[in-house]
Amino acid sequence: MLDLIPPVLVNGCAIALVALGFHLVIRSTGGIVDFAIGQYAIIAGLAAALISSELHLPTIFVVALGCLASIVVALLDEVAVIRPAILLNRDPLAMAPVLATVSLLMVWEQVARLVFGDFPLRGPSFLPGVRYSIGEIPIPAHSVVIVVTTVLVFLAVQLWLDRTKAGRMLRAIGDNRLAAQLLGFSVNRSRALAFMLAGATVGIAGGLISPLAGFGALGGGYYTLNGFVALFLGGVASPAGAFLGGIVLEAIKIAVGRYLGSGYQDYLVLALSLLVFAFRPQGILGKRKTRSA
Amino acid sequence: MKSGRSRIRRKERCVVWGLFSVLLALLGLCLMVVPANTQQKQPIVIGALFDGSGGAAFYSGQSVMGVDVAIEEVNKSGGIMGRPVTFIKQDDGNNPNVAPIRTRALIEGGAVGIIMTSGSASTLQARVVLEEMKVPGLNANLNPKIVQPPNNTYIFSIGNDTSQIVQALTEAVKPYKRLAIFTDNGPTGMGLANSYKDAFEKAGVKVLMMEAVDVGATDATAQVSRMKAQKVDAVFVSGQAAGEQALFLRAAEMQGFNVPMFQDITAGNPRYHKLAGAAALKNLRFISQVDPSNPASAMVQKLVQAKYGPKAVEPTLYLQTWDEVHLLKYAIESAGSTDGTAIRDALQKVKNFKSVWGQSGYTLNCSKDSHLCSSLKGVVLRGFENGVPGPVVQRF
Repeated sequence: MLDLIPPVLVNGCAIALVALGFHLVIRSTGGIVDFAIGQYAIIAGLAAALISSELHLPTIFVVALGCLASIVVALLDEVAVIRPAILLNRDPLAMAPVLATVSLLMVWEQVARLVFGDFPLRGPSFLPGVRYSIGEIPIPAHSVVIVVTTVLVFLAVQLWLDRTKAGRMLRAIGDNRLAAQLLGFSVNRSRALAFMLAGATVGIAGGLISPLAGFGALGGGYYTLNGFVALFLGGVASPAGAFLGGIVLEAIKIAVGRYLGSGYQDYLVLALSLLVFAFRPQGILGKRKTRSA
Repeated sequence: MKSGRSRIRRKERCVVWGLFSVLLALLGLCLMVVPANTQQKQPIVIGALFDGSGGAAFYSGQSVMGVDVAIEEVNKSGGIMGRPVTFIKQDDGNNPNVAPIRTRALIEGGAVGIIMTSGSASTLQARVVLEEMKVPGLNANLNPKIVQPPNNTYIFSIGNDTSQIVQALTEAVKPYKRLAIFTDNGPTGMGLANSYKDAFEKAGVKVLMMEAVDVGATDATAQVSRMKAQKVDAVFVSGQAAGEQALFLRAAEMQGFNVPMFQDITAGNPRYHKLAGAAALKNLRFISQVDPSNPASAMVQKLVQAKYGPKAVEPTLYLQTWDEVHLLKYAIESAGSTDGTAIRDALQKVKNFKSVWGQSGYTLNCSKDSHLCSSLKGVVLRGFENGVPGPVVQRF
């Protein structure tokens, strides 16, 4: 049982970072889910792997450059597709911007194929070959780096949202975009910033997890699906919900795989998602909205 | 006087008309002869159905390299029946619904034989067009259904199909009593794993459990942990997703799960070795269609690598398509014609055709009753040494 804790934490952290990207985009757009987000992780991971094999730079620079690729892609999505889609579809319930993100997922998958090829690539690890152990449980140093980095990223984002003007502006836009616009907030600039931050958090996930998993160009859907479920499981309203959702989702998946068999993993995760959507749509940490009289 | 002059003029006219007639006759003869010569020099077209954008793109790309280099070599050695060979290709994106349209386009482009390098589902769908247009298609897919009846009169498979791979793997895993299968849970991966499981069990090998991970998964600890708890003594690593197979091998290495692991031909890819890492490969044995002691394989590998450099990483695939082109050449020359049915009939008579892959001296044999031209001599079991394929550990 204890041997499952390290993989739960490592994979949970990666999915939590993707969920955090979803959270930032939802905040900045007033509810649009960016289904292309999973592919940002893939692009960051593949870019890190390619740069590492070509330039042999230190791992931290490689992960940073992969992250930069992911930020550029996220910003491009916002400026070239999401922003015009929002402008053309002012109805907040319009599906066009969301459907545009589904198309973006496919577009970036094909771009990744063309740039990085069809075969999966694996990025470089931090401290390769260094392993710690607790009892008989092996813990690679890279796994420790993933967990520590994730915690730091979540703390930084939470502080940014709470303590900075830009962060508070983003929260205001998320609560009521029209009111924020009337107050003179630059909605477009805030949204672009949120997309760049989302690109960074998801890019960090991609850069850190690619040495463990190995990324194929068409793998974005996995991260999109798991990040999305994790966010709604933990609660859309706060970064803490994204973090908790990622850890809980991976804990359930890995425990089910270990004790019931891998054949049940997806069914139980999907059943759990349905239960959450039906009975606790605000997620584990979310507060139920009460209807005013 | 007048009559004498007119007689001379008549004679002149006769000579002029005579010369004119001879000229016309010569011109007619030329017109008859020139097309025949032109036709003789007209190129013979070989087509390739490939996947340039879908899930089989990597494998298909490697296969096309073999076709390309083989056709270059055929042209250097005088072409087929003295005629140059032209290569055309069509991309079906590994989409079985698109494959028939692209195959028809190849045939309309003049292809007299088609090398099928896309996925097996594409080949199955394209079969209808090949049958209708009476053009032979050659492939090296693993799927045995491609050459099974009914309606398989124009497709030939030169690679070892799953039944032969399974036969070899069954021999390899027979000594183990608690075998587990690992796979990805994509539709192709699960289908492949189930067909292996059925075949193992039919041959009397007990499969204790089958564990899968999602395509794109980042961890396989639960699967390894479960196998360890069940005291599995050997694992067959199945599936189609290299990333997930490598993920499993790394998780097993991390958890000290040191049992013999077996994999099919997909483990021969050098990129896979890099992806898994040397430490994770130490317990792996795999079915290879490249025997390091076969000099013909080495010769073709040199040619392909000279043209494509580091892009040519999967010898099995390009060696097999090399053979497919040379089989077509042999069949066209044996038939003395580019008629599809004649080529098909000649292919059905192929006996002891020296292959450039498999064990040394391995030959291909086709017949009217079996369009699966390979045999168990096409494979060997190899281990790994320092992260690269090592010597042969078992011959079949």
